[in-house]
Amino acid sequence: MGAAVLALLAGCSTHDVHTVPIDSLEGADFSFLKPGQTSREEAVRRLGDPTGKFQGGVILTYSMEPAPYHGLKPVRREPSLRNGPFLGWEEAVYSLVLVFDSESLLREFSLVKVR
Amino acid sequence: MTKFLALVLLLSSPQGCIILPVIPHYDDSLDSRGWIPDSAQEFIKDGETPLSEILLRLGEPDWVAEDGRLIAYRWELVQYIVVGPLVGAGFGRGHFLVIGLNDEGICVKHRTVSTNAGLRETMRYEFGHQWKDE
Repeated sequence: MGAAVLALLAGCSTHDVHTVPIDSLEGADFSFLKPGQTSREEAVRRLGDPTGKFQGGVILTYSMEPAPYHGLKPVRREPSLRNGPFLGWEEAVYSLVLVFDSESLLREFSLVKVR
Repeated sequence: MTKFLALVLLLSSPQGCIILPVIPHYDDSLDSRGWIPDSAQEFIKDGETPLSEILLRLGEPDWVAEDGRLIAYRWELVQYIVVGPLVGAGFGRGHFLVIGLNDEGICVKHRTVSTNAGLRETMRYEFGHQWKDE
């Protein structure tokens, strides 16, 4: 009985982090991202300043939020009182990760559902 | 059943609130990323896995050390709810996946820690991170 009550109280959501196919989101157009062709400059021109930059710009990350009629759009993550020095994920649901090669051409990318 | 009722009474506060333990679960209202279960960390191998693969699989980390050699993912799971004036309010416990990297950006160590301590304390005591302002 007790276990049943606890199970009910717990709900059933998991929300584990996982990658999603880049073309699975209606309205999201990332067709300009082509491995071996898209340059870092073009990616930044299309997406704006990244929210994260790693290894001297070899890896760029963008926090993305769902936008009506546009699929996803980049969003700034702000520090929240609750999270202290961590940036909150209030609006951001996805993380777009771009990895470039030594010639600054896109090597691979992924879209991760973070919450 | 008797044991369960005794537990509920034990957890009842004088203000009339009841604190109930629940199965740890994610709640959107906590404003943290979704959890990263052990199964989603299995691809990380110390001495092998590059940062690029980690980010491609887990997304942008929640914290990066100034020198870039430690990154942390943090999520929160509800473990208790308060029933009473704050009906349904939940509070939980923080979970950190911390990954140490070498100069080449290869994972050299990784560990998950469950704690209610903040970032500064967790990084200092669990991972020996020296903060610049200390």
